[in-house]
Amino acid sequence: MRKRTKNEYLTLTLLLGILILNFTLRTFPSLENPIPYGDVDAAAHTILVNKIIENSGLIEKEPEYIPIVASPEDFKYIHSPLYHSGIAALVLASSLDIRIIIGLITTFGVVSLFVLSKYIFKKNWISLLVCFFQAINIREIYSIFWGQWGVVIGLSFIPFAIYLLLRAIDSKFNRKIIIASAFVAGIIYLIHPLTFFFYLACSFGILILKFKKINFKKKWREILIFTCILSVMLLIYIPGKKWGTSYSRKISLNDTFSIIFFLAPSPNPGETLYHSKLGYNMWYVYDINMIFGIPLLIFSAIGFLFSLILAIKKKIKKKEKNLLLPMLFITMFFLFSYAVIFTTSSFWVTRGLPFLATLLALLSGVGCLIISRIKGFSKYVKIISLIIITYYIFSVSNIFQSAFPRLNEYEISALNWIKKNTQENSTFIFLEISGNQILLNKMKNIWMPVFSERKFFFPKVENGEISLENYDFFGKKVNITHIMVTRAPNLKTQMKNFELIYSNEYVDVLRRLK
Amino acid sequence: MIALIFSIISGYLIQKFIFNEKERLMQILLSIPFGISYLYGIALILTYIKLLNTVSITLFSAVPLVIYLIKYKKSLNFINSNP
Repeated sequence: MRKRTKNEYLTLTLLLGILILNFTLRTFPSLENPIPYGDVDAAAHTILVNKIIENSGLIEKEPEYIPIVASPEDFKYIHSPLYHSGIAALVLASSLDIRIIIGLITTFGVVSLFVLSKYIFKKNWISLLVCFFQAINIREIYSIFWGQWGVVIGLSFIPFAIYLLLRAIDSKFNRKIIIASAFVAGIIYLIHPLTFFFYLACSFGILILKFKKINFKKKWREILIFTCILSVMLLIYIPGKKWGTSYSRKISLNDTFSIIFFLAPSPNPGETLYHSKLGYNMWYVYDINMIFGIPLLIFSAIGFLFSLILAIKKKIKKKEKNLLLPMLFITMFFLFSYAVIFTTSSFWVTRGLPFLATLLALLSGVGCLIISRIKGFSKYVKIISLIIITYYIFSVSNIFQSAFPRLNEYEISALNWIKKNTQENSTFIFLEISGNQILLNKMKNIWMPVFSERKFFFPKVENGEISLENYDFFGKKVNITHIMVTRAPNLKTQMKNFELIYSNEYVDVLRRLK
Repeated sequence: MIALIFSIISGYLIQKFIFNEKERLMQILLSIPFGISYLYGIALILTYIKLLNTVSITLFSAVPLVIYLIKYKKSLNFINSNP
């Protein structure tokens, strides 16, 4: 009994270490500096969370100053409600920053993954290894750093939802578990419909394995309860028409193959000129080694091979049946994803790649279990695990070199002034001057609307002069009414049609004369 | 922060109500996903009725705890009344 408690304490301590690693890897830029950072998606999500908090609930229309979607006149709320309101609730409940909250949610995802792994493998050390692989899921880390994607947040709920579904089937459809299971599945959908798609793929895998165990005739009431609860939650939010048409990015057949084999091209060459730092460049790269790492792939391959052999066998031990689950999840993941890619050429499904890494981590658990069963090899399994963990820690430490371009405090105070002292329909460009050159600082432009609540457009230079006409996301012509510029006296003398309305040590704000 | 702690305690009580897990480690671990999911449920309701603020989240997150305490008090009274 005492030994058992000791083991529990050791497992809990190691798990705590993994959770801290997971949390640190996803939040260290915000722990160092509280000023937000990220790409356009991150800024847009921050605006929506802030608006929900300000509004004490759902907003009916997205603010017009959201970057990339500026000036939509009849633009309805297209985002799934629970992604933003869930984070808003956690921000209100904990008084922590949005980025820290996202780190916390993914850490909760690791706890769920431990619970699911324990259910499948029945061994603590394998579950810990699976959780470690998840903690260093680089693809997820970069998605959080630069995009704060709703898909990634929803993915943290999937292991828990799968666990509940498995427990519901094992308990012969206990009604309490069925209700909880349907509720969590609904939450996943309301966070992001695409995440629900991956949950559906996994559920299908479970259905294949446990089909004989489910007595559909006797348990129709419980199945009906599950369906009803889920249907009600699905009906709460139906994505708008625009979601599926004008906003769905299409990909070419060439890109489709690249994505399938994780060899998609490196980021837009134009963008790399402005963001030559490691972190941003990794944002859209689908590189097999960067995403998963060779040791994880080797373990997964062993796990896959064993699962295949197990599946071919006629009689499988009851205890070992669950070991087929990771292979089924991955097979369904690919089948569902390819079905979407080939039928719709949609770009969105590639956002599930962080989840593929999670599934591979589960499959690697099967590989570890098999290796530990080999006679004479079992003694060294824990040592090998330690070597692999050290290897990964060294390779992951690279991300600490990532650069996170942010606004400075002078720019933020100017933006706060703009928010209080300019009209809501004012339009801005931001000019950052270095010598005689105008820098296109995409990162700063993206975050300016978050603080100022005004539309900011990228500066355009035509025939050596700054154009004061611009185009919004919908191709509509927009006249720039204000300019925010870093202090550059030569440039300001050229701007005769503008008057200075605000100035601090770093930036000036100019307004166009009528 | 109080609301977050209440949610995790609620998660612990919900998992106890649903699973009655024997292993202590699993009891502790399951309370986290249950607690966060419960908080998301609260967020969903409060978002639609436009009452998403710190006070209402704190109050709602404590509901399972209050129900448990009322039940616990009742059972305690029952024990006391039986000499």
